[in-house]
Amino acid sequence: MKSKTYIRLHAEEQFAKEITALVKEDKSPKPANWKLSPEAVLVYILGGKTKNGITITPKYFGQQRLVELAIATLLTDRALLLIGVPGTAKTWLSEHLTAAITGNSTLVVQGTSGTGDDAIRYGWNYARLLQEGPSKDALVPSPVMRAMEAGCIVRVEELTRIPSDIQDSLITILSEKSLPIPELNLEVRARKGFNLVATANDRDKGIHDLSSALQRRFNTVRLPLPASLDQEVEIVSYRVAELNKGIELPQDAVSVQDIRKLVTVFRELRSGATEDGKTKIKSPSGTLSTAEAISAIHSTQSMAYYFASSQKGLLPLAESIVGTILKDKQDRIPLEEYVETQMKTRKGWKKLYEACQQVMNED
Amino acid sequence: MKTDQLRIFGIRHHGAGSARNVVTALQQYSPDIILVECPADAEQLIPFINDRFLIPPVAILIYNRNQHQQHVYYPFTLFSPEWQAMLYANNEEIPARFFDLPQGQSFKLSEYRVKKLDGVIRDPFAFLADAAGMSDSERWWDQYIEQYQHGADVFETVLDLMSEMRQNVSHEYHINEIREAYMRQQIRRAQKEGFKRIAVVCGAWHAPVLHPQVNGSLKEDKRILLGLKKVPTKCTWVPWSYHRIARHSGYGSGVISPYWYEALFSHRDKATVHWMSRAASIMKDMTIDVSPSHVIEATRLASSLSALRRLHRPGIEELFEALTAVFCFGDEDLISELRIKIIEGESVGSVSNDIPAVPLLQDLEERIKKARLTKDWRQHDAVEKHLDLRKHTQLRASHLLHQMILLDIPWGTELEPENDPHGTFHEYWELNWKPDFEMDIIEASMWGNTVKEAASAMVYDAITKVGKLSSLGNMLLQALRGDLPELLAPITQKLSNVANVSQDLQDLMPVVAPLIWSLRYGSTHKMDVKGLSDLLNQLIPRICLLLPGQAAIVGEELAEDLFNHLMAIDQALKLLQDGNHIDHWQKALSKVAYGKLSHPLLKGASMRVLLNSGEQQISSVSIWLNLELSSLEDPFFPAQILEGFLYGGASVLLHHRELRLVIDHWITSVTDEHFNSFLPILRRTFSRFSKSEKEVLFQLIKKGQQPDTSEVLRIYNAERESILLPVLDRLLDS
Repeated sequence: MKSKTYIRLHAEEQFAKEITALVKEDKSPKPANWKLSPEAVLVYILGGKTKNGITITPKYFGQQRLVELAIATLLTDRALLLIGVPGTAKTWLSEHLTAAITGNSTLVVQGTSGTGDDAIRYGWNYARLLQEGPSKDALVPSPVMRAMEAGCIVRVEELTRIPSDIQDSLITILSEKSLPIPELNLEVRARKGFNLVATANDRDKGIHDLSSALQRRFNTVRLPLPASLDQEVEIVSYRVAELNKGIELPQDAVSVQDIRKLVTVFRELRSGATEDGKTKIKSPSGTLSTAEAISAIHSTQSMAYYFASSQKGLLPLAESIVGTILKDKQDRIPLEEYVETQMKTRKGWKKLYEACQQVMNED
Repeated sequence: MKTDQLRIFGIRHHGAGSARNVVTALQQYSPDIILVECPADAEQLIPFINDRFLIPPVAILIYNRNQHQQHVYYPFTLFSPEWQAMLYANNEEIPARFFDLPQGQSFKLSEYRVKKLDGVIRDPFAFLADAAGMSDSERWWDQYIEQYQHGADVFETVLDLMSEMRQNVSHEYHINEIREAYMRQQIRRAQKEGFKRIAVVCGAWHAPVLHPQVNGSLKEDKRILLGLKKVPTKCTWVPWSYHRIARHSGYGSGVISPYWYEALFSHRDKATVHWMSRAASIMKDMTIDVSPSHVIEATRLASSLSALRRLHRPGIEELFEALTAVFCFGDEDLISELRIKIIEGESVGSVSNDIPAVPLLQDLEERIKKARLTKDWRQHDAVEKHLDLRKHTQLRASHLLHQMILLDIPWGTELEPENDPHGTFHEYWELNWKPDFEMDIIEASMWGNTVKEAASAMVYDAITKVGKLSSLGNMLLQALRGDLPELLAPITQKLSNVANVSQDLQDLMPVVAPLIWSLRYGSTHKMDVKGLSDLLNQLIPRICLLLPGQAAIVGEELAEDLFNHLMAIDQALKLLQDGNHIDHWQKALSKVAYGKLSHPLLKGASMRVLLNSGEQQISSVSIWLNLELSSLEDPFFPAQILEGFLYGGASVLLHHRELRLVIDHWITSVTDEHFNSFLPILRRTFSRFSKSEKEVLFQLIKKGQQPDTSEVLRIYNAERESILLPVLDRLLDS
């Protein structure tokens, strides 16, 4: 298959079989331009089994009610805003929702501080514009415009990184469901099935809060960090395995126990208390999100695999832990305290403790 | 055997759908008597239902006449099926009866025969809910029974369902058998009296076994009920609130959202919109930006959510989730503050004056009148009150307010006067009446028939339960100032028992100040305070021993607590004037001040106290300060030292040039980065200085020299002047 040569597949390509299976037996009523009924979308996201016995893998491990809320929002004509800290599977959920509903998750606006008007409304092909004057052919439609014309869902990633005045150009689109093109005296009107899924992070630095006018156009679903250690370990292992498939790393370079330890460290430092809730811990400055845990494990694996001769034992894991936590000079004290009071005394953590100490002394 | 002479309507207590269905069913059946599941000894209360001042939510209160603590409430709302059944009976002028086992017998039974069987299922509906994949039984009942508009037919279904359940689920409290036998007997009695169309309204669970010709024999029921003893009871209607009916508040048969049920009962199809609009208006009052379009969107979201979940219509969970997503931008923290208002509703019921009030309320009203506080009672706006304890009526008011605090009815909050708290004949109170007090009074009435008696009984009870020294200490002070001297000995006894085993400064320190105030109060009022002073003689040296060690290991949060306790103890000790204690105390403080590891906040505070009391010379203090401020490891350390040291005001800085120089030197030597990091602490420290202090300090720093007299004179306080001048006037006049 041709797609095998790509590092990463789109959700609808990767899970094409599951979507086809669900489409085949989906008898429930479908909203206009939806490939699957809302119930089938729910099954696709949360996992399950079709009647023919095809297993649907779970895509989202969090609370079912949040997914239901997200799908229900897309059933109304309000747009959906997924909010949360990094690593709460915002993008992941939005991609899979879109893939299941429209079968196409590729209409994306990637929000950055440089995102301009043309990414949300339309741009011009200047060569043609100069030659032919303003015409429909000289227009370069944005993903949003294309979604409106096709009646499908467009994704906006990192909405809050887009400058406020550009964000606000979404207001008309979301409330009037039309996009005027004054230069041509035309308008593009959204077909049934059009909607928008945005993701945003409201804790980071360098973000632009939504204007209340825009905020009113969204239903907001806040995605929480994983509730339990087991859940987070499961998410990290799953996502790391997915990443490794892309770059063909062996699956078992880091054991489950080690993933568990790293996630424990992150969770405890993040929440400021031990998992048993008995001891208070100083928190470092970083968010230490699940996403960071995933990339820490991923880099541990790469290091252990490619530099096997110099990086022995738990050193790569310790490097990742220390490297991820030490974002700032002042993070050193909480980390040292954690290593000395928590790691040192725990059963089965001796090797990791020694490795962490070694790494920190080298710094 | 089903004849039309008897119909049994199984309901869910406080089920809005049940209430509607009961009304429909009763209209269709038109019974000649209605039997309601409620203790028979409260039957006399039924006629009050028509009283236009009896507005639900209200509750029937039944209590043991000889022992008020033994009591029980049966709450009713507008949407309680039982309430609707009684209303129907009164409107149609047919008799209504309470036909459950009298409470007097239940009280007796609960004393002797509490026999819980193993594997008892408290909530049989949880099984059904679980089978239907729902999180809890209320949700199940809501979706499958309440929200269907079956009308009268639903009761047949409920009956079948329950008989199936009773056969297959192990259940039963022993007391249920007795109650059911009693209820069957009452139905038999009604039949015997010749009623031809008997309607029975009871909890769904009992419905299948109440038919006297189908279940249980007359003989067997008589045997079960034979020889039951009872205690004498009294009963009355009392006001109740949605908050207390909400399950959240711990009431077993409670519902999650009373207001939602009210909306369901009163508006049926439009309930969702009503609920949302009300939530919106509550949020508007809290100045959260919401508009009618929000209401529309949230209602639509709730509907599509319930469709996705294959529910008949939205339940409270869907409503709340939609509300969070649309109104609150997904922020559950924001909404959790409004949770009580939005979810539970704030309705409070009322009862008329004709209904026998509890004796405590009568006594309370009497005493309020005597204390001349009548016009402030039941006033919604807070008022400030100054009481001069040398005047008889105002002393009465003070006693009453203190006693009410002990009763957990905090009508008055005492405001700390600026100087010398508790030291004068004056008390300053803020009176803030809350509707909930009505119910608090009813609850408190279980402890006695007068305020004084109840307060005293509650304290006696608390003594056996409370193990926290500080609450005991405060209780003692309240008791003494509330004219309950008989409590002095028992509380002191309990205090010394607890204090002897506690090693925790967090526990020990806060009790000292209230004890010293109590001691002073007791001795000026000629009470026997020997026990109390013995206790202090033990406590203070122990605290002094523990303090230096503890100061070295506390974390940030605890340090602030200890700091506050330290200040309070110091102030109280000054008042006590006991040389021995002060000696101990100063030694401990000096250990803290010079301890290498002591927390900087405590260090600073200790040194300041020592300087103020003359125990330390200014020269040694400035050497100490110089040393402490030179700490380089942690930029917060010096800032916190200063925070502790300067807590008591700027006077030391005004009078001692050395100290100013030390601080000046330090400030100019820190790096910008460090300065920025501890700036908030410094700001906090200096913002505590008064305006005039700050001005003079500024002048001094500008000049870089000692203040001359003209500048000292400028630290004057207009307020003090206005107090002083009239007095001078009078002195000069006379």
